[in-house]
Amino acid sequence: MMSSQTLPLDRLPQRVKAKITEISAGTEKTAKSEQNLEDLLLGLGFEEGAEIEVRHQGPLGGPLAVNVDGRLIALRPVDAAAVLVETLHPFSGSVLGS
Amino acid sequence: MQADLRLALVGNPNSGKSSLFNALTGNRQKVGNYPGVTVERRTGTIEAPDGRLISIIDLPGTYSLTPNSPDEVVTHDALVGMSHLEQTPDAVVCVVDATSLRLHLKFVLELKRLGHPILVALNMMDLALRDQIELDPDRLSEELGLPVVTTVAVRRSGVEKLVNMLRVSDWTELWKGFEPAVDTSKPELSVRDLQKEARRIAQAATIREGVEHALTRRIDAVVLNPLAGPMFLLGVLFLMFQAVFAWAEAPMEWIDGGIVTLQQLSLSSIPEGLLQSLIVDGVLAGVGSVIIFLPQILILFAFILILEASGYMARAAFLMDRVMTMAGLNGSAFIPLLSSFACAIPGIMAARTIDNPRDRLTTIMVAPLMTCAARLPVYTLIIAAFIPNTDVFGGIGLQGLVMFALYMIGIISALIVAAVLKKTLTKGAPPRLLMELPKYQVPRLRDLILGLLERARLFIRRAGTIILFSMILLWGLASFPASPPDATEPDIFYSAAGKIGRALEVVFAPIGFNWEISVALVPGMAAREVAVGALGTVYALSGSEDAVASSLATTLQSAWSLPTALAFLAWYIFAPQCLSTLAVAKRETNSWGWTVFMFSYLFVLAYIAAGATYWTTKALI
Repeated sequence: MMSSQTLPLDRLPQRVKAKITEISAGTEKTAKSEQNLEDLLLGLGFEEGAEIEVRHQGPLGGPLAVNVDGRLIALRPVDAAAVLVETLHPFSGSVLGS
Repeated sequence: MQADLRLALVGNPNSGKSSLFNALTGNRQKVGNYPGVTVERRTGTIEAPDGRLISIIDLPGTYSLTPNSPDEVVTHDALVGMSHLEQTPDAVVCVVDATSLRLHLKFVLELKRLGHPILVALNMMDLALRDQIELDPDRLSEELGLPVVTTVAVRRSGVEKLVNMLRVSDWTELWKGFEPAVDTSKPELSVRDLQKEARRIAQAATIREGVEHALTRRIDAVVLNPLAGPMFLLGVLFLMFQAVFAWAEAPMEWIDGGIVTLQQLSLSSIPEGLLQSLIVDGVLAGVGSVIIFLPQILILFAFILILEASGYMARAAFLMDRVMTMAGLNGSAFIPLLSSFACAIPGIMAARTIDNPRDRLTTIMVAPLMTCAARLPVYTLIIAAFIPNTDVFGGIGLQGLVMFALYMIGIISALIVAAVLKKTLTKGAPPRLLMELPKYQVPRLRDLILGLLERARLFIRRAGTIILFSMILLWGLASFPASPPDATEPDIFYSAAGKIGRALEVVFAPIGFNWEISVALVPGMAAREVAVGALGTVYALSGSEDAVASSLATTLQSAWSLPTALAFLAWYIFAPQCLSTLAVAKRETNSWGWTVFMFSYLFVLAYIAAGATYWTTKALI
């Protein structure tokens, strides 16, 4: 009940602090000509243990602006789903129901 | 010129690398292009007090040495000595953002394994101070096994120090006492190992973590707000276009006055005849009518440079991502397209930051629909002549509003064309958006001035070469052969230009263009703004001598009907004629097919738009 939750980044509510637990970009969506999502994420500082917080979302369900260890990175929800996070503190409000 | 030390500047994007390069080389830098790949190549040479030369190359910013984009390929190849364009550097200055140490250190560690002597420039120390970050450069140097120098590119502090370090009698001395730059004993490390090591070093060298930049956060709370953000963006764009009109007015009048003075001077000092006509009607009238737009182009570029340097440009891409996705593009296409407002050429070139080839192609194809600065002369002229200078409401002028509408039509058409292309010829999965939103910074005045000077130089060089040449050619075509003694029409009617224009008029008459416009479209092929100069020449020659002195706008008011003027504006939203754009498109797409396609679709759109405008307006009045 008072434990933290693990969830994909695109489900993390705004302004809830979390830690990255895993980065696993599924290969099924990436065509072979396209860049590896995992490499791109790692290059921008997404790594296991980094602190993360969703700050903004673009209009009309646009991209997310997330703070990763002090850097603000923009990415689409579909790509954010590859990042698994664990909330630092329990928070109120349903995530799974949203 | 053989340099004694070849230095390469490398680093992550947003590390302040270019500012540091500007601080090091000042205006002694050369900006060119890598042949074939059109990645911007910036080089400069500085001289040590003992007369030895240090050449500096600013390699494109990259997050890693895994080459993913053309930019990164250039950097990678130059560093590993695979480049046929670049000699392998003797030493590397790796620029590291002090406010984001951990991430940048990962790149340093990666770089270290290549075996170059590396000097680490711990840059943006001022920003680190602002964010209350405290670092220990000596500890960093010790942990990395590399010399570290702290710099603030904007204030030259540390830049001198860096230069002085490079001026030691023996370059290798600099790296004495540090561990061999490359450690081959360790097996290949994975990205995750590098990250772990970078994290460890960053932690060791950090005395105080610092606080998040509060101002950036406060600004973002408004600027990235889903409601207020787009409003702000629209406001910025609107301000930009109003400024182009209002602020440029005074300097444009000075230039105009200067040209008229020169013309009068030539009229009184050169004996009447062919030479006088060439100078007054050809060179001065033609080139003058193009040079006059320099203030507007510089104001537009100043806005774009400031937006980029302040960190706002990436936010604009963030806000526009959803809209761009609807057109099948991604937010990162927004920057190339926004640059295209200045000129389609840098815009098309900026498209290489888009890694998906299909998106890149789509972006290149629609870039010419963004209203480039070269179209401003045409818009300004026609608007000034035909749109009354009245206030619509609250200080917003009708002229500015029409200008805004012209830009908006261009943007909307670009989105529609992109959407159609993505559904047909460049079909594919929607691209990805993944980018850093840098911390806000006050743009460096030096970088702004250097950027503007470079643009001004490019524009004046165009005016001095392509445009001057086209003007003289047009003047020649317009002056010969001379009219018969029993002439009933103005001289130009009988000239070669008149004949070409009248032949083309068959094509253009249905959309309301007269033969004078048809003539002007021919040299307009060289560069869009030449059309204005050409109109200047055509009307100066076809009217009385007074026409030279009176402004072109007044001449057009009596020579064109309103439907023709509006049709001409509509034509120019799509106008395909710009040889340099087509040349760059050919080089970037490496395909004649796509280049021909670009020209053809623009021509068809321009023709339809002008025709529709002409006939609609004619029916209404």
